[in-house]
Amino acid sequence: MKNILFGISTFILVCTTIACHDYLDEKADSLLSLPETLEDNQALLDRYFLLGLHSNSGEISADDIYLSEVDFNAMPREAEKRLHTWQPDHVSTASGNDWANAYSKINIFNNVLYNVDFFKIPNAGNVVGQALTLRAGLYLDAAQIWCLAYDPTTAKTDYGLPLRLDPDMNKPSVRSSLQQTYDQIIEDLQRAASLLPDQQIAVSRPSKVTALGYLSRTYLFMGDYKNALQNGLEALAIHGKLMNYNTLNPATSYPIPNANIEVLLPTNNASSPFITVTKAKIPAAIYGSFATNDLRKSLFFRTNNDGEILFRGNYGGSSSRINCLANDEIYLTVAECYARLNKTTEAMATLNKLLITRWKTGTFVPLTAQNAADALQQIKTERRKELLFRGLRWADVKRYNKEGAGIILTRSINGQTYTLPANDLRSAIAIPEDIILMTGMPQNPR
Amino acid sequence: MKNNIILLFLFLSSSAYAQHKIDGQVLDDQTMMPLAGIVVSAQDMEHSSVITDLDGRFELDVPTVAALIIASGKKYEVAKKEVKLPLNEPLKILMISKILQMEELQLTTGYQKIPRERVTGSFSVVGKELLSKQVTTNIMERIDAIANGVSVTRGIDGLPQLSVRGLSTIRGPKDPLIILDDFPYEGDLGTISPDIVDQITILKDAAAASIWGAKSANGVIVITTKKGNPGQGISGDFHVSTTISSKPDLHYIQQMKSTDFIDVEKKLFSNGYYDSDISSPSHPVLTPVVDLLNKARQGLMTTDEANDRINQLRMVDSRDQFQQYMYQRMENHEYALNLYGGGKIMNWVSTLRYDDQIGNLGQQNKRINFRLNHHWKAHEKVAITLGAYYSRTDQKSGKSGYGTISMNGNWRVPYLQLADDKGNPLMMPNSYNQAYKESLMGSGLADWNFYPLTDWEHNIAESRNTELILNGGIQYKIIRGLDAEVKYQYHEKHDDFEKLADPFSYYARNYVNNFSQKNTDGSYRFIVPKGGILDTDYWKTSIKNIRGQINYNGRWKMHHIALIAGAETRETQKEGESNRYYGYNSYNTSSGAVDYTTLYPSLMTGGKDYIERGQRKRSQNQRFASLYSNASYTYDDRYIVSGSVRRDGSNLFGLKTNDQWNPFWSVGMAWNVSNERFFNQSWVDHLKMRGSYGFNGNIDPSMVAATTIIYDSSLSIYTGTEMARIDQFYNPSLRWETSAITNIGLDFSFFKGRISGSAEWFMKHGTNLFGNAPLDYTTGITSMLMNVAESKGRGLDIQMNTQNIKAGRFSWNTLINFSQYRDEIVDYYSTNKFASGYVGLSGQSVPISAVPGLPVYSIFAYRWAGLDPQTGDPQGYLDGNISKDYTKITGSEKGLEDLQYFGSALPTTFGSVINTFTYGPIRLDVGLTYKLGYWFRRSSISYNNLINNRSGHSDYSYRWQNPGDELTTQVPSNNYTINSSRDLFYLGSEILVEKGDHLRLQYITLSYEPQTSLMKIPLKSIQLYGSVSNIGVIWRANKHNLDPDYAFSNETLKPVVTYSFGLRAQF
Repeated sequence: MKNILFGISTFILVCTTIACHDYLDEKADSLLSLPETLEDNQALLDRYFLLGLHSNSGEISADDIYLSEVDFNAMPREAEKRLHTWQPDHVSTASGNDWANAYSKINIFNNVLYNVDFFKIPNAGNVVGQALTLRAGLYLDAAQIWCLAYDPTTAKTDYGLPLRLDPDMNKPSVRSSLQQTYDQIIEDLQRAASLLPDQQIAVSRPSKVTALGYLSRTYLFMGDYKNALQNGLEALAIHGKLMNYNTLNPATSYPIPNANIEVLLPTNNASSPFITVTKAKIPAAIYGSFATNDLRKSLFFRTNNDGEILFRGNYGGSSSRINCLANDEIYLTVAECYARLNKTTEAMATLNKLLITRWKTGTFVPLTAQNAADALQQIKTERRKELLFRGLRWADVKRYNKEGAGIILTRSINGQTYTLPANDLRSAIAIPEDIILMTGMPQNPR
Repeated sequence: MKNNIILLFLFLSSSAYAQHKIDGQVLDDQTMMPLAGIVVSAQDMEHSSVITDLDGRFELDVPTVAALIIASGKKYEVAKKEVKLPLNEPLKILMISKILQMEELQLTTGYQKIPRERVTGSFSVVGKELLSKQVTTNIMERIDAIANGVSVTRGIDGLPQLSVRGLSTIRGPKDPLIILDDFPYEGDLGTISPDIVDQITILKDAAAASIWGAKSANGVIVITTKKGNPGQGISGDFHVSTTISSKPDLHYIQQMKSTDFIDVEKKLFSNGYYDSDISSPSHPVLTPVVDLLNKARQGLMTTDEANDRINQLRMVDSRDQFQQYMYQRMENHEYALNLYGGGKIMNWVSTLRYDDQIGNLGQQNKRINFRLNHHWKAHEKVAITLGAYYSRTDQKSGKSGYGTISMNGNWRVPYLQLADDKGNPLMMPNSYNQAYKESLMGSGLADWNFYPLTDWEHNIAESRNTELILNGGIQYKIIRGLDAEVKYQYHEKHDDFEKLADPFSYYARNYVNNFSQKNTDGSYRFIVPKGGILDTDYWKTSIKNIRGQINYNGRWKMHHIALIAGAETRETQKEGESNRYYGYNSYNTSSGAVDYTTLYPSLMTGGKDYIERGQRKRSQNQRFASLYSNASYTYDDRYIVSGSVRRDGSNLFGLKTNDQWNPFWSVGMAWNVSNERFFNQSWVDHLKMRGSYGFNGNIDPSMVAATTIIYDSSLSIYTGTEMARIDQFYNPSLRWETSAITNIGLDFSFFKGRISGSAEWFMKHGTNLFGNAPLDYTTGITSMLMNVAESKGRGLDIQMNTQNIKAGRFSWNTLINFSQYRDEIVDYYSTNKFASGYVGLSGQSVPISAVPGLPVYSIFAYRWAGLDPQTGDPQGYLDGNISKDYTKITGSEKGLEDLQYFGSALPTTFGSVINTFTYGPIRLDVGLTYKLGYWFRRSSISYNNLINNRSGHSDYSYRWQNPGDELTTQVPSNNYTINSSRDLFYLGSEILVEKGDHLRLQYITLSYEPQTSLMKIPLKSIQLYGSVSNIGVIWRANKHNLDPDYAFSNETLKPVVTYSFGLRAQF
């Protein structure tokens, strides 16, 4: 009897154990897989634009928008109200804040870079280049929010960002120096530029031009105008196309198409009630600085029934706020660098090349400058006008103030005046308090 | 075919003798052999009993012409027989051998049946009699009130959560494992008809449940269906019932007063709050009052006219509107027929059941069940079981319930009017500015108005669920005591869902209009074809189980061994497909083509959008393989030891890892004290002590051994290629979640069963509990499945049956279930939290406390310092001082120190008391349930919600308005300036924390069961009943008239009171 029992149980055990090896190998879900092929990793990068949200803290803090008092009072998130009035702390919403937005995507790119290595995926140069460009773009954006403007004399001691470069979540987050942060951005972009093709199948995949464009922006923010100019020119040499705004129809709600020929990377701002089409009003001075024949005056703006100026949205083709990298910015960067390097003629020529496409055909009179300083002033003005809601104003104010521009931001709400003096420590926005609590990283000094 | 009751021919008698003599004989119902030594007496005359002779004969004197004769003997079930004198032939009493009835006394785990005597684990059994006292269509709704150690909690996230002995997991699936007969049931329990259920067994400790391995940590509930009894011939029962309900009480919803709401809108309008909406180029919707105010301001109507109309709206209460036009009484009809056949070789049962329900919103639900179960003793050594179960449920949506009609997002106004005085449908502004809509109408666009009263007629969702279970088993007796069996079950489920927004529905009209493009001549071009929009969703699930098992049962001298060992595999395959059709015509099922790849500007907002594709296909294939064994050894029916072990493997844990076999084991022992020779207390019928220890597990399907990605069902709009996202991040430090359970129990029966029951003490120790731990999201991951906690819980389950009064025809029995369970965090491995991380809000899930020594789900609150006498602002404490810095209070890094701790968010004491009163054929059952020792947070006004989401709260009427009000109210003032931290503070403050303790009257059932032998009908028994369920709370600790089970948000509704009438009969 015991033999029979033993025999049968052994039989069942052996059958199950052998059979199970194959039986349990089956994939549990058809949509699920390991990211082990080039296609898998490209697919991870391609989805980026469904959630490709860049920071909005800069737009909420900067001086391109104002809110009516009643709208401000009804804003649903206290943290954003504090951010808008430059409070020193508690300016991040509890969930889905800019920090989380930036680092959740950096993690995807880190995963892709890790997968390429780990699964030894061949011919992955293009994918690696894209991941590096996207990651550097986010770090550059983040540095404008949570770090002070770059100053070569203090960058080695100024706080930078925690640089997470691989997907291991068990590694602690540690703040790098601002110098290390910028070094990493430049290293990634340079490597990416060497890996990427001049052109990709779609604008959503960063090309060599995207990497060069970001390099140009990075060097500009660092005050390295020579390198900014060189990379900008290199980018324009490959793909320097501009739209002629005369071809756009101002009668449609969102006249500028999404992913048009100027766009190098169609990234969006995270949404916030502060920057919606109806609540965020544009100061009349900005609107007034556009000439009547400047097509942007009608394409960028509309007025509401109360005569207030609203922004239509520019390169997104919709009401969403887009802060994409595009050729118009490269032109302005190149022009600015020429001016700063004392090449007034080249500076104004570059600026005019851009502006002529923005004016009604036949009405544009090329701008002239008496000297480099005049050129720089005009370029700064045009930069602000052209790059509204492109996530650049906050960074520009900070770097202009670094060189002594003395721009003081003020708001007057409910009878109270809020001021952010030039070079105030609060221009490095507070890192979310829960991050500080969890990681023990130092908060930005106040 | 044999009858176990011989029909008697009864004659009315006017006999006036003081004593009547009954001659009779007692026979075995199977063998028809006379039974000697059987005690026979008349009811209430037990003192004058007689004993049958060797021929089974007896002579008994009875005082009345009608009597109930009772026969009892050791190895037989007690037999009762109604007689009416005089008899024209000797009375025959048939008795059923207890050996054949052993199944009744056995407990089942789904793998084996164990006689109660030899059980070491914790089982709680609910038989069909107890189940049938309540009338519900869903079997699970019944066990809450009657099963021991089982509770349904709604406190954590507002959803009912059935749990056995408290929650064992923090994250992970919380549902107990449901076994239908032998195999796990993955379908909707609502489709299982209560009429097929014979008993429900709840496996509560490790010795009982760990045989189910990796899914058993939440407890296991085994549903056993009715079976045919061998040798009983053909019999049957049927059941018809009708249930109706009250209309739901919409005034339980804490809706803001219309007049208050309108005042707020008027004030905001004059402040200019709506101006950005009014002038917005995307034309957002304006509420009726704002629209009127705007029209008056624009001069489109006079201010008086606008105010008149607004004042009319002040009188409207949308709850009344919904109550009148949308809600109705629920009505349910059930019909069930069971047929049993029992021969010596074959026995079978067949069930046919149908129910038809019209819900409170007129939604329809029709269900048909058919079942056949066949047991065939094909050979001396071979037994074959075959079963088939078919169920089909058809559902159709009904009217629009409260809270489902909104203008935009969740915007709802309390003065919504569905119909005018004559009942004609009224228009409600929806999605966009009504005036702008009107300006576009004509030119070929469809009517853009929304009529809430009738729109549901054009938006019909229908679902059809078909289920088929086929099973078969073969059991082969190898030698005496040893048999081998193979069981197979195939379960196929089809879930078909169709939602048709017909061409007249607002959804379809709005969709088509919004995508239409204006031509240069002013006419419109339709991008989305005119017509209906049909969404379909289809899932096919097939589950295959195969099990091979060896059973050994051996007894020699004083020793008894029972052993099972087996292996099984289980595969669940799911295939799903969704589709969407535009321009759908339901008459000829034709649909139109659309372009999904072009961005089209919305006619209303100008924003560009793609046409929704709504197409996806997916398949899943989960596989499990398990090995298990259970053995028990009994010595002299006094000492029992048992053990079980199981290993599970699955393809869930990682795509390439099948080495994740996880073992679970348990040991148990029991001592039948009353079987000891030294033990002879005559008042003790039965006394047993038992104890067990072991492990149960919990699978979380999202556990992976590698970072996995998941593909989107749609392609990138930029590249036209596939897109993927990371589904699960690999965490190399992740461990299995286990729950160790210690159980010590005592089973007792005293005074010939007058008092019986069990008392159990148990301890659960959960280690490596999964939790969604908030991470330093610099890592890119906001929260992740981690082993976050170690917890322990202690509890007590007492079940007691008492026969309180037994006097003549009257009896009173009580069933008491008493459970206590307290859990606490032993260790929490996650990071620090701010004060707000401990508090949570009304309407949101209670956060895990993460504080060692306190319950897993604890209620914390911000300390309350009253309202500011000057401004009516709420005040709390920051660093011990009264403060209004709400951002700092809610974001306090000190977390716990500034908070007030109340207690558990889950009941720590719960149970039920069921009293049964019988008087002759009349029986009254009263079921009470209680939940004690816990806290909940009530809802109140959030000014952010009020202003930005148009969602108020009745507490608004009690808000602080003038200095001095702070003495009588604790509701903060409305200062028209939103501070979301102020709302967060008030809603999380201690002023809104209430004690949850309450006592509920669950059901009252009155039934009448006349003696069928007295009537000329061919029925063995007949029962008429009436029952009232969900009667409501009869005592509560809170002073706000809130039902703590239904207080999750201010719009939670209480279940409706139902009234049922029915008839059960056996033949």
